[in-house]
Amino acid sequence: MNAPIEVEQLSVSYARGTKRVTAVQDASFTVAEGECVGFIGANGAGKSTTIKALMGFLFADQGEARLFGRPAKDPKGRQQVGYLPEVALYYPYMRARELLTLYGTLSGLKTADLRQRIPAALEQVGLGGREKDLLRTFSKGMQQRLGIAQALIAQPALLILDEISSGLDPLGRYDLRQLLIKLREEGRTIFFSSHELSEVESLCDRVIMIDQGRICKEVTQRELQAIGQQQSLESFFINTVREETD
Amino acid sequence: MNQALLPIVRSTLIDALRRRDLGVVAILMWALLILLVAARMVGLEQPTTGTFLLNLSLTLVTFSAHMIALLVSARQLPEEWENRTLYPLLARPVARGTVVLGKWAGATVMGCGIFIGLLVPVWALVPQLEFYDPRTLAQLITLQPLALMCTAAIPILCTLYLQRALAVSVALVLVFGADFMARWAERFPLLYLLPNPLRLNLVLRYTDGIGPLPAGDFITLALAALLWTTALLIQSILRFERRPL
Repeated sequence: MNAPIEVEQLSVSYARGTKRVTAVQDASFTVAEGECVGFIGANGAGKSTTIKALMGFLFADQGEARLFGRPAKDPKGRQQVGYLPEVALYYPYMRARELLTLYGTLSGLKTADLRQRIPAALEQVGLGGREKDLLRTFSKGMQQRLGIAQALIAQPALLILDEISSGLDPLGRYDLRQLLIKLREEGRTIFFSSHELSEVESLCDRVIMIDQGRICKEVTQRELQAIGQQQSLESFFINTVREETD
Repeated sequence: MNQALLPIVRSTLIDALRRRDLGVVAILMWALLILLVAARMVGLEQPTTGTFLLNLSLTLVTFSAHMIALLVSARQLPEEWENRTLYPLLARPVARGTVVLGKWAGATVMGCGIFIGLLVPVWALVPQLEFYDPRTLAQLITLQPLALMCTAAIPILCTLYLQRALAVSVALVLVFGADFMARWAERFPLLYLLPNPLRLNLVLRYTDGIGPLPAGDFITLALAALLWTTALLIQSILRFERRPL
């Protein structure tokens, strides 16, 4: 059985003007089935680039990213993946139901399944009863909630969530945390990036830290607990990044 | 691939139908239909006036259909890109080529819907005082969807290479200006190679009462449009598949 996520010596660069910028360098990690893994790093550290390479949006210069044993660019690997992008403004002229129908159908769901799952998914993210609303009337926080609903619509085995709590108010963050706990208990594999380190600390079995494109530390839950007795994850993260920089 | 194609076509149509640009066409067409109804009620005596009205109406219908197909097609990929909705779309088990085909097909269906939806009332309302060959009309109706397929494919490719505004301008020139540019084709033979989807427009032939195109010409035009559309779409898919997002 292949691990849901395998990243091996991945290097990704992109063009900025006439220069090529290396965003991720020689990154390797694995996420096992049922694990909840947090991916943390400063702005521009390479979190989103790694996730985009994993989803097949960006191409590797070296190394490989695999989903369920398939190369990132193979669409079949994404069959069991729910993905939340960092920020998205969903089609303003569509209704919430139509959007979820689009994504659900593309994920292979039948109309009968969608009829049940759309209200349930919207309810799950606190948007119950908004099925018929045009998306241009949705606030940023509601768009983020809708983004989570679209990631969950096909009940995927693996969730990849980029900047999960971006745009959410404290209540939204609390609801999201409860939802992630429930999903973890259901046995889903979760891989997410976040700047909310308390969220990462409370949810994850393991934390992967990235700095300047390189994976600088992997911390298991036991180590996290030990850290928690001495210092917060936040100060541990800041010290680790500073050590790397020095 | 087909399973994924239909939802993308459907979403493209939903988005296009709720936009204001379609409202502009609707207002224009309502004005035209009122003019035609008025002409019918007053009654026309001069056959040439009837021919003028028929030509004007069918030209407006054809140009509106091409304009809508072009505009719908031109905004598809740039808006997906700007709003970052390409990511959740391509996070599904969907090939990038399917997204390109779905967007193109949606714009084509939109253009064809406008064309047929407006052609029928216009043709029924215009007082026809002269003989117009129905075989030419049949050819006109057959060739227009092929022309619209080509028109919708041009901006898809342009937006994959150029900034949105520039891409729309180039697509407008290629669709609506190719006939004009063809005048210099004797001096610059490469101009013959432009896709020129409006070359398939038989409105003038029909309203001038000329008979149908010879079979060879008809088939050549149809094949040229199909060939151009295929070439434009293959290049768009290859470009989109290689492009980092």
